[in-house]
Amino acid sequence: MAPGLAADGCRHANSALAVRLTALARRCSRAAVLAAALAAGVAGGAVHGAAAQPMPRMFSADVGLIFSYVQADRSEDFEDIMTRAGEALAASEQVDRRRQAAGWTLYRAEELFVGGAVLYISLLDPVVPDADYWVPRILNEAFPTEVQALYDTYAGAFADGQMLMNLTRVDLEPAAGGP
Amino acid sequence: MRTILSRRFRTNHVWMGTAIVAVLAVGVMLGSVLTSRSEAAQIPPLTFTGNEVIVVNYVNSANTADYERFMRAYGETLAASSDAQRARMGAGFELYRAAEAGPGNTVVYLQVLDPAVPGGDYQHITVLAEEFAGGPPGNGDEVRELYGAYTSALAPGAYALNLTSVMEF
Repeated sequence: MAPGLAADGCRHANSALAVRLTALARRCSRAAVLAAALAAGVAGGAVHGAAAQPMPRMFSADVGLIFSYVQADRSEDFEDIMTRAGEALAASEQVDRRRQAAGWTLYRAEELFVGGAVLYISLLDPVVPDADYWVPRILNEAFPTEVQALYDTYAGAFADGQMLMNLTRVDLEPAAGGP
Repeated sequence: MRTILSRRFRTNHVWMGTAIVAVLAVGVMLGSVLTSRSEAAQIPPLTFTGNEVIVVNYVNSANTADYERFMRAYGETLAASSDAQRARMGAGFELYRAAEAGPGNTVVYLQVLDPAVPGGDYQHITVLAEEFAGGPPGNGDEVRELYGAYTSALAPGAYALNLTSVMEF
């Protein structure tokens, strides 16, 4: 999205309206950022905390998201580790582990966060029920002799913790019998 | 926790939130008087740079039906459009509701654009004004009602993330 959207909006509106909208946008932008922060803070079912925290990353919904905040200068390390995790899943003898791999896509956000942190989003679609998506555990299963070094690299890459989100797809089809 | 999370989001790319809020503000103001295609054309376009995009909305918990009704109309209109670009936009548009609550006990919705169509104008009011229910001028009342319910349903704090696919496992 172009950063000049607000300006574009003002250009298309009359000048009085433009002034009001610009002021509104300034006020609301602060609210937007705060709300985003709060959203993460109050998300009842989300898992927060250090990426190294050994707690299960499990999901109850059909689709899951993991937000991972990574130091910009460690993003290559993070991606390397995620590549290894993908290899571990794909090569696993456990069917559920291979299913996890089949539904796991990793994205990187263009927008940088505080301190230049890079946001990575893991989209898990579909979620494998009862499967643990905690990366160090996955690595440990496949690379037990390397896991300490991999873990150190993985944990050291984070700028902040992770956030999990359980998602339900909203049906956008017209209601049966509707107009 | 609050400190950590506030720090996380205290980004110097505040323009992202600013842009969305500004676009929404313009839409609200103009949407109330929108009656024709030419007026719809005055609303700034909502385009994205990522190959995939997530737009996060916080919705008042009492108004989720209104929000979903609006998004359903938007998605249907895109998908049914005779315009090839809009039809592609519709094919890649999905809406998700999070189980986890947002600020003020709002409901978190994610609009997922996968793929996001380069150059495509995703401005909701523009799409609806131009094509919903047969287009103008006959759709004015219906679009106004939909858009009014939508804007009333929204809580502050929308933002968008432009994404690049790094890997598929």
